[in-house]
Amino acid sequence: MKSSSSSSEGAQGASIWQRWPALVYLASLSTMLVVWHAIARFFPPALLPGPIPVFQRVGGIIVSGQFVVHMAATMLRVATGFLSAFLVSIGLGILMGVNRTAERFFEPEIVVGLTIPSLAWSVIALMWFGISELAPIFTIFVILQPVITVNIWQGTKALDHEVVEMARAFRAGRAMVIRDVVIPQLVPYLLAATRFGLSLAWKVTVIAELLGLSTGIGYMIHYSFGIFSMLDVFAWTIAFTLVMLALEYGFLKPLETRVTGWRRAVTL
Amino acid sequence: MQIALRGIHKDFPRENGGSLAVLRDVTLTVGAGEFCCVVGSSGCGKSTILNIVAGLTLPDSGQVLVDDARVDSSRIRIGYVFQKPRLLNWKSVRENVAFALKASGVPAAEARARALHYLDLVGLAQFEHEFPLALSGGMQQRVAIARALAIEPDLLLMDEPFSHLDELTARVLRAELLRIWRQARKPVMFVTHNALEAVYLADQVLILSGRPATIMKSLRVSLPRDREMEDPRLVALQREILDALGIAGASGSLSK
Repeated sequence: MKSSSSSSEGAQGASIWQRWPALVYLASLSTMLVVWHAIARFFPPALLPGPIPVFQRVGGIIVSGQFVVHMAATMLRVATGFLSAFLVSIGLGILMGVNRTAERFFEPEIVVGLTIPSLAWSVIALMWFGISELAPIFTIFVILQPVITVNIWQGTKALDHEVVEMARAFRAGRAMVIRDVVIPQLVPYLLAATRFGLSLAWKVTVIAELLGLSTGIGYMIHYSFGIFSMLDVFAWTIAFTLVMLALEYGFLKPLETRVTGWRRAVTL
Repeated sequence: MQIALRGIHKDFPRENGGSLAVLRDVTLTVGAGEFCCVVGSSGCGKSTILNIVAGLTLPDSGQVLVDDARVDSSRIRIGYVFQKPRLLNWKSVRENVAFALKASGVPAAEARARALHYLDLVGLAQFEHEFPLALSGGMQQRVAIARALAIEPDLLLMDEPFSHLDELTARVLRAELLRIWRQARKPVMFVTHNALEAVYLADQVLILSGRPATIMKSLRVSLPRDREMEDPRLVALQREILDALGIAGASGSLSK
């Protein structure tokens, strides 16, 4: 809460970069593109295509409708796997946060789960479920569940019990305590779990698709590899990344700013 | 309404398996409309007494009596001001006060209207939309006081509410508290380690021994209201308390 106070102090005398933080991001992105363009000139396009042909191809796969089909397939797997892991983790994380025995019982499960490589899970899921939607969803679930549970477990342990006691002293009912006192304290942890969990889910899905499915972004990257088209590998990867960025900056970041606005306080 | 504790015993379990005796045979009575201060050294169990009255902690034995009858203490309306403000930092100042009102069954619309009224009473009406972290410690504590008063409690419990504040702010808030109390005329149990604060505020001062705490001495302060903290009669009473607590030659240092 203290770190944000500097932005208001420095407002008048600030340089253009401080006044318009968006400009800094824009400059950062432009630099990346320019450097990419410059380096690409020294390599054959089959090894490193430049940004211009790549973005033309991105436009191509979007216009042809291919991108939407495969993106939707990937999205559906991510959403299903993520949501099921999230729901189980909320229950398990809160249970571990409030019950010492449950904490001891599930802690090894978390540690083992965090340690197993995601590639191993992808292979195991494919061998168990074959080429079906169940394989990537199962993979996402088992990889995300320990990660999200850890977040919610820690959030529950960090609950401020003094305000809970305050609420009880004022005779707040159980539902009111949970809604107005407990959940708002867990929100920052839920958001962190969402952001981290989603970014992990994308990566896991793409690996699972690459290994043995016939739709999705991962499959298309694998397909592009099959026809040895670096242009397509780049185009699919970048189009996918752009959607992720849009989700992060267009949805998750604003949501976080809104929900945790009370932390940005100026101390009188 | 009158509150009485009869023979309260309380032990707390310790990490190593033993138990810590906190309260031993605590018996006291707070009369209707009476301002009662409980004085004792830090960590002697003062807060535990308030928590037992509030029903947050159950005594091992003994009774809490409301108007001489054994009443479930969750049946009476209790306003509690803690040592720290204990506000819900994610709710606006006004919503914090309204929270306590809604918790005690007031409909939402009325709760918000009454919240503003009580914020006005503690001089914070213009900060109704701020979040607590935007306020100073003294202002946050005022919000906590407004929250406790807003529910129009049958009994007001205060646990060293001014001990974290600077003396200037504390003086202003003490005077305000007395003004509000004289209008409402509800019993107050006010815990403090500040002997001068106790004699300034109270009709009755109860002095606790060190742990396990029991009531060593009870003192009536019958000086007329609108007292001055520098009044020599108050200072003499403070001396009496400090002597009872076994603190020699410290009358100045404890008055903050």
